[in-house]
Amino acid sequence: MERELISKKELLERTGISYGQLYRWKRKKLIPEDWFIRKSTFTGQETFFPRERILERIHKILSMKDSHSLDELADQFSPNPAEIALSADEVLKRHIVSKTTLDYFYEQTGAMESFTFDKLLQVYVLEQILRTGAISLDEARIVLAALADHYDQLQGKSCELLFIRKFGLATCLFVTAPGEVYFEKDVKVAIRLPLARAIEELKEKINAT
Amino acid sequence: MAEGLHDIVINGSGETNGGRFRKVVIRGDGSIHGKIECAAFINRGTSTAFHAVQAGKIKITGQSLFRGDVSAERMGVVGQTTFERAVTVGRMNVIGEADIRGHLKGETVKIRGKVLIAGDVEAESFTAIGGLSIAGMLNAGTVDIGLRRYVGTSEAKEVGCENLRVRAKKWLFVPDVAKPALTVELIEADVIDIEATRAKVVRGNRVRIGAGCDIDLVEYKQELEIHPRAAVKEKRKI
Repeated sequence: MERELISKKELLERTGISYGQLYRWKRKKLIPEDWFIRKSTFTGQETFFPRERILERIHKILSMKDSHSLDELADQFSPNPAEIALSADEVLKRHIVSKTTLDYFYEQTGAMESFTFDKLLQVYVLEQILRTGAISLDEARIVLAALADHYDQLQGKSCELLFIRKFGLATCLFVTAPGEVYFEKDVKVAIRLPLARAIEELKEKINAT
Repeated sequence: MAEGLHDIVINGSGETNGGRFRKVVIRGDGSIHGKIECAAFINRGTSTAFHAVQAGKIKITGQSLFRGDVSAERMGVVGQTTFERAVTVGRMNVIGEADIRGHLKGETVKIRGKVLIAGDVEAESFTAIGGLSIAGMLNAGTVDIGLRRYVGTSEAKEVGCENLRVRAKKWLFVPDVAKPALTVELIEADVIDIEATRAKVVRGNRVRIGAGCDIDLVEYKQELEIHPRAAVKEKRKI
């Protein structure tokens, strides 16, 4: 997981937030613990963050903090599921998934009237992975089944979905953070999807009316 | 709490398994061998809870040992208490000595006496008068620390907050070196007002370095004030 990092100092300079705000947001779980990466530098210990993700998160917090309470924001960013059920019409109306994906999802599971959060997540992940064009419909079914099987264990954890291929064999796995995976050279990683991020995007779409 | 829950009272010496209760009262010496959920946990004597305790209110006078996670809306400790795992509280008030071997998370934490914390501390408001030793990071909205001589030196690895205030009790005719001090590696806060603090790095918007401080590097954004009896090796305005 090669990522570009940003130091705490540079982050505060670029975003104009103060130490107090940063620490408060960390306390309120708006910024996940595992984004604080400690490294020793010549001035002692310094804290770094995954650059892209923290900048995006802070801009989001800054743009939303006037209209939402910190607790509401924390709910939205947390990897915990939201209490919600949407009808099939609403799922399409809020552009959570396309009609094609939904039809394909129905083929797998049978038609359903209302979607709870776990079903929403499944269909949303399906949409995401199909959209990458890296895997076929049949392969997507493997992911769906695995996600349905392990949904309970993955709850509340920030984890990543990996879809790998080797010599025409395909499989998928979930890695919970913090953790690194290394593959042998013949393995091709077709899809790498952070679920926490998918959940966050999904919640955003659900809440946008 | 659901209806029909019973109280459990231990007078003298006794043991009990866990469960759900309305009130748990221990006078004397009590051991609890299971997970406990109750509206109130009251100890006046010595008690040991071997598993998690989840209570509306915890009141301890005397000595207590909690070997599991503890969570309570309100907690008052007078005496000596050891928490071997994480503590989650709304309001916490300690007079005496607390030894927390896990993380402490609370809304309002007030400590008068001595506290040892092996993990991190998160609180909206954290007040400590006496001595404190935090092996991890102290992250709070407001931190107010009053240093006292009789409890020895205080230390924390890192302090990150909005407002930090450290005061050392004035001792007439006692030189600064003999006064109680707080040792921190790194302080980062919006408003900093410290005395008798030794730190490698202090970073803030408005910073006041008071008497008896010994700081290697201060970085500030708006204001910096340094007391004549403070030592600052390097300062930078950012």
